[in-house]
Amino acid sequence: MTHLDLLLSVYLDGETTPEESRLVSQHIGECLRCRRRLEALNEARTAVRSLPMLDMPADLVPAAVTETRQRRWHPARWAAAAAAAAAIVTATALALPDPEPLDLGDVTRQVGARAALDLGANSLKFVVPGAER
Amino acid sequence: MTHRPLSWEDVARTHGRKIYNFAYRLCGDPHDAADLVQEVLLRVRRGLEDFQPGSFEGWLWRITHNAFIDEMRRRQRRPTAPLPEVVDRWDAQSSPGADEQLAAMRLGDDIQAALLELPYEFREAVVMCDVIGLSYEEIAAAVAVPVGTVRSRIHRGRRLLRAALSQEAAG
Repeated sequence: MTHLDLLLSVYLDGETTPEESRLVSQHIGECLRCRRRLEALNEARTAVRSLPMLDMPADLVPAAVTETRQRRWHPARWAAAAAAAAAIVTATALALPDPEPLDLGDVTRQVGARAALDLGANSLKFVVPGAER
Repeated sequence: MTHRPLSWEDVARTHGRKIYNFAYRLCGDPHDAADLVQEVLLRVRRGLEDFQPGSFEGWLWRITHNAFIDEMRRRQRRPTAPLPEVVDRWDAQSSPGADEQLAAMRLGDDIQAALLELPYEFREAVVMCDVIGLSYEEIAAAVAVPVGTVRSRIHRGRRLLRAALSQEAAG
């Protein structure tokens, strides 16, 4: 006896031709092995069909309005982004040379010199040769 | 009587949930599934103007199939590992005792885990058939393979699934 294999799944889905349907019906009436195979396949089929239909996230459809694709961010992505930002800050701090100590005396001298120059600039007179004669 | 042209909002409303479930059952991750729905809706929006009246289901699921394949390629995470050792034992696992255990263990998580173990082509065909409810002809149009290939993929997918569920129940 030739056993059936692929046709059993097709039969379960009602996708067999009339001729194939007659063949399967007749065969499983006579063959215990193929009848058990059919039952096993039906269990797998029923298992998948028993999975619940999940609800789509509520914010999903409005997000699709934008032409430019914007990937949705979930907590794991935020955490990865935060970790990357922290790594950049740390790496930058390590890469920069140590700042030189600040000498307040130098600052005072520079500010004083700039003030003196400014005063001097205010007192400058532009002399055009021959104009004040 | 005039018909309003189909908008992408109509597609989102009538098919968004199915696309989400298709994606979730294929990848097992709600965030990846949500990303795929967005990608599909964007492609639908761009393609609706060129859509010719015909099999809308075939057109939509072809877009969904292509979007999923592109996404998986992009992420280089496409699962392809078969389970050859399970194939040869599926008949042996059909004992009445295993059946009873299987019935007791048929929880959604187990079924989802077993689905994710299937080779991608088998998983996609099984999900399109048993979760979405597409006919073999619609699946063939969406995936661009002959109906005979769809028959084979669904059958082999169910065999592997049955064997994997039996193993989980027995383990």
